[in-house]
Amino acid sequence: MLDNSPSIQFRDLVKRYGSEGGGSLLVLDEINLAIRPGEFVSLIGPSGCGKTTLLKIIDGLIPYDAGDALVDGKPVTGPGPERAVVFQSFALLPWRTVRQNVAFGLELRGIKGAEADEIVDRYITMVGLKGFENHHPSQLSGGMQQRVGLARALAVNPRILLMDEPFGALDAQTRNLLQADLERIWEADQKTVVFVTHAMDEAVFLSDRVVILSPRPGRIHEIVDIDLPRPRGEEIRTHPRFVELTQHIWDVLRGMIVRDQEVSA
Amino acid sequence: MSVTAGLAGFLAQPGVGSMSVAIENLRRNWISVLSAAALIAAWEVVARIADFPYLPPPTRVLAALWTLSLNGTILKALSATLFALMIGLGSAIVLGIGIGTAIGLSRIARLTLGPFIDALMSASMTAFVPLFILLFGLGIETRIIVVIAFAFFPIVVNTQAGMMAAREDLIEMARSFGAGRWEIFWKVRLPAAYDHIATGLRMGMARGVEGNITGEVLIAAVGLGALVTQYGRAFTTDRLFAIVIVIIVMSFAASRLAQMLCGIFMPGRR
Amino acid sequence: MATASGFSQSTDWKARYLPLLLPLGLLAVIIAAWQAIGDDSASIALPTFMRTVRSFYELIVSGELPLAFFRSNIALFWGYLLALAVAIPLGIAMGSADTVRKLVNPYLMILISMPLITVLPILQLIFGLGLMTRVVVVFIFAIVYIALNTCVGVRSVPVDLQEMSRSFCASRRQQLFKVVLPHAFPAIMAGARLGLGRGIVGMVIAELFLMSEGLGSLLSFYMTRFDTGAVLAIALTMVLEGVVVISLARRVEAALTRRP
Repeated sequence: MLDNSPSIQFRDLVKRYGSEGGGSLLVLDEINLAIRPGEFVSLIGPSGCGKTTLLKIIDGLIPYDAGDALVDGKPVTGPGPERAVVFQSFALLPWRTVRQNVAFGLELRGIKGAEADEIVDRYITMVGLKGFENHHPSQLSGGMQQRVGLARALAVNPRILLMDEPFGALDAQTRNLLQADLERIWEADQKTVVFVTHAMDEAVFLSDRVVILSPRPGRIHEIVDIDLPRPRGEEIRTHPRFVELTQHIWDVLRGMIVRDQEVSA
Repeated sequence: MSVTAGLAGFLAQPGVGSMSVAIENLRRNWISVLSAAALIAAWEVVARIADFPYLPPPTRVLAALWTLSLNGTILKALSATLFALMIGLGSAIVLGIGIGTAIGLSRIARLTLGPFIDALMSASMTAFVPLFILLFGLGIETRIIVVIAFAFFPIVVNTQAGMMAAREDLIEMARSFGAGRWEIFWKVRLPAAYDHIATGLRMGMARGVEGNITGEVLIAAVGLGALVTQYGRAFTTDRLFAIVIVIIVMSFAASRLAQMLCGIFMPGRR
Repeated sequence: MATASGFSQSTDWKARYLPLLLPLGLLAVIIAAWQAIGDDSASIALPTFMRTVRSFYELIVSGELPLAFFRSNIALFWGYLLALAVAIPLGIAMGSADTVRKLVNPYLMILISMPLITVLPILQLIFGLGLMTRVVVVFIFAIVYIALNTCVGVRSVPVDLQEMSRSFCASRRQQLFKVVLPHAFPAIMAGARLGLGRGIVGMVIAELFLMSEGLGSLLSFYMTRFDTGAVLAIALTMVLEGVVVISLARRVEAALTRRP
């Protein structure tokens, strides 16, 4: 696919806090960003930089105040079938089994029966949960629950995958495993992914580009190109360029946090 | 959010609030106020036009209220009602907290009395009123017994829950500082139970008021309940509605009072 | 809601049998005392246990009690059904729209905090002494807790579940049936149980106030004859019905809302 027109685009995007009631605190200040189709982009920054807000604006879950947010060239007015979200809290329906949860998006679109079953089985296997189809979320570990969330999002075959700190609630070991799994799954069909995270190494491991946002108000501070080869396995974590990039991002973030503390002190 | 927490949120209206709190509430709930006012206005118009025998217009109800206040009917009935209510509630509180504490602290007592109290807690005490009438007559003793029967059980159950709610680690801590059984009770168990006891008192008072009026309606001798029966039988609906208003106001006042007392005697509760 | 009976998990025989023996022992003591204190000779005195049992037996055998029981519970049945049919949608509407909630809430608050027996004379004037009045009474008693609990359940849907279903482009109707209602189900069940309890209270109050058709009229009949045994038997029937029904309702609720 040689179409390089941006999959997602922000032009001078502005978002104010409580704009539904006419608030004045600036959350996002003139964001300009273009994401190409098939690109894996991470949004990283200290709390208050608006990265989750930006993600929700892409999905049409919250409105914005000025500028443009475009998906495939068209302004965002609400959620759509070409975008799917993976949530930090997993957001699984506790009364449904794994299989019923994964089928949720399909069900909403009227896809049922054998056709849906086939799709559900495929993605449950893909995320490594075969054998757990009839379990309920309360019987699963955090990592497994997030796999369900991932399978559910993938099952509706979105062109754009939006992930809101999906591994933030998990322990370090599970996180590393899921990062590797996500990378492997993404390699298969290379959707456009916007990935919000706190962790530098996670951003570097997964992304093509890392967007560093500064807080209060949220602005793009720097965009880092991740020129590491793909596919990426565990061994890439000790690659000198990996360490260098991670260190650089951390230096930028640390500077922001320190400055933030000095200002408020 | 648990169901009880949600309901507690509904029922725990801001307590003895200042004027500014009241005005703030008014501003936030103008829809409710407006709908209530609209309803009353509609009622007035419809009642005057249609002239239903059993739906007097609000103005006539207010007039009846005025008349009854002036000629002392309400005062006489209210004092009779309140007298039985206070004695009944007082007894229920003393008995309830006493027995609740005993059951909470003693496993034997809990196992023995527990099932009966549970059963009676969910029983409909109203059914016993005719029996009380038969056994104790139509006098004030019956009315007091009815109040106690209604108010006792929520108080017992919640006090007992409160006694059992004291954290083991806090009790251990107190013991490690050399506190004896009595001190542990006063300084750890009892304060930990305040919340539950307060809930029990609120429920007990609400049930007590309900029992009080119910008993009076069925006994039909003195008090506000008796007036309800009397005006109902006489078809003087404007007076009936007037008394109903007095009862509603009294119920609200009683629950506010309960909250205020809990705030005074058991400080620091949520 | 707190219950008073303790429960022990140890396998010690004392722990296993005491919870059963102690209350039964107390029951035996109560019955014995009751029999002793009771006075069957005087007309206005507590009847003995045996006398009450005998009245009970006679009332059942003669068919008076079952018939009256049936008549009274028809009102409970229809009133409660009506209450569910009205209060659950009302609760959903209240939970979904703040405006509706603010509109309806004051009336529910009034109903919950006033002795509902006071509306009985008014209802009697409007609807008379028949089944209709008793149905309306049960209805009014039951709706409050059903509506309030349903509303709380609907309002308590976690934000992330709402966002998730919106992100998958669920319509409002799909959100209601696939996310909101399944989440609110335990709360609705609790409300239904509490409403049933209040409905029974309403039935009893209507019976005693109107004394028209069922257990109430039977009770009034025996009261005028000063037959304390029968009066106690009928009163106990009403009380026991409440206890048994609520206990069953609790079991049903627990079974239906059990989550793996």
